[in-house]
Amino acid sequence: MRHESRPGARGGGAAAVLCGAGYWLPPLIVTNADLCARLDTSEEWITSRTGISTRRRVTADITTADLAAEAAERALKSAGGGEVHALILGTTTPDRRCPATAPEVASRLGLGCIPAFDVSAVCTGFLYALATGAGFLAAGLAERVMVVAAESFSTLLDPDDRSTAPIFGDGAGAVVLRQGSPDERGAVGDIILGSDGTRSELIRVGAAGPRGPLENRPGPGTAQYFQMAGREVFRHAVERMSAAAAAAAESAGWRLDEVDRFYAHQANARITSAVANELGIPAERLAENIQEVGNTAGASIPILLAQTAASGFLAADHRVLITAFGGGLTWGATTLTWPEVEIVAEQR
Amino acid sequence: MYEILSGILVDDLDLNASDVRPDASCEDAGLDSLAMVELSMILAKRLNMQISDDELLATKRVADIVRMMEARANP
Repeated sequence: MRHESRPGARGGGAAAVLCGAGYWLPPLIVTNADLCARLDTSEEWITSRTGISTRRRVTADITTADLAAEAAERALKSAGGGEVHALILGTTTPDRRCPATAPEVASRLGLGCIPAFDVSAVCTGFLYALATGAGFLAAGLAERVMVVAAESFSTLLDPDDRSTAPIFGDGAGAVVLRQGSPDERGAVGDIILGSDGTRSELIRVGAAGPRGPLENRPGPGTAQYFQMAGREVFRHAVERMSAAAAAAAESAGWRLDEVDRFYAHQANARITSAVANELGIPAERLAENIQEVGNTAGASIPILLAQTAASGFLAADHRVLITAFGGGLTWGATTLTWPEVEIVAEQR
Repeated sequence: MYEILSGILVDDLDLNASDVRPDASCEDAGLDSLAMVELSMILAKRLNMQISDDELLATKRVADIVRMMEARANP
């Protein structure tokens, strides 16, 4: 039986080189105190279990397409503008069940009639979209690709479920990839991807999407809401991210102590810390923003990359190891040496 | 065995050393459900000791976990 994607799958095609990055967060800030006014929980419980103090949330006038367009616009600016020949959007919370959200984002950016489609891999969505974008470049289908991950995950949540409502936030991140060579800065290394459908029940929404028909949207505690088996997810997340990250580093020819910055999906501060411990990566090399933005699902990695590049925590020539895990189950990992890119810091 | 457990709880799980005592309740030691999952994983990987998080969650005190570890180490 084959396990995970095959390292070296790029073959003889061009490497994908990151040449721009951006992010955008909706303005509404929801604090733990705000949540405790409704939920049967405490600020201390939320902080100690998740590491989260605040999260951003969409309001009625903001959708996933808006988040994606804002992030993609900033990534394009970071890349110095110019043409993009495909747009791939990783999201679990598209604006509608049909059609995909990516074409609307591409049109709003003025990118013309380029190929644009969604990729759904829950919290591993960015890495799956990144691999798809890299594939477009390697196959010669495009010279530059926009890879976006955007989530309005709060629209899936049961506002009365204290085990999920505090965890998730909304937002979007994006990168621009161009064709290049594997030995230049910004070149994305082999991308390890995997899935295990036998455990799909661990992370799921049973019924209709957030904008599905009202008759499919019954009351609280029903299958319309996001549900997660916390303890089992913790175990699988730590095991899968640790193994995938180790495989990606090995594929790049890096020892784990040569990794300058480690980016694990911001699922829960306790999960990222357990993964870093497992890999022996010191805390000061671990990128984190979960305290302020919560778990933004598929968008967490590109938001974190762009935010930390803007803050200076991530700098040119840093060896970056990235890993993510999500519903499906899905997981993935990759590496890159961070390039010289200008990031647009968050607007207020 | 207690020294091995307390080492894991303090060094790996970042629990406060002053809270980790044999007679401390699991809750007072800081062992919530996620910590039990992590402990179960570390025991399996490092000591080849199979104790599920459900079994760990059924214990009341740190000393109960030590007894369980001793029993599994010397079946």
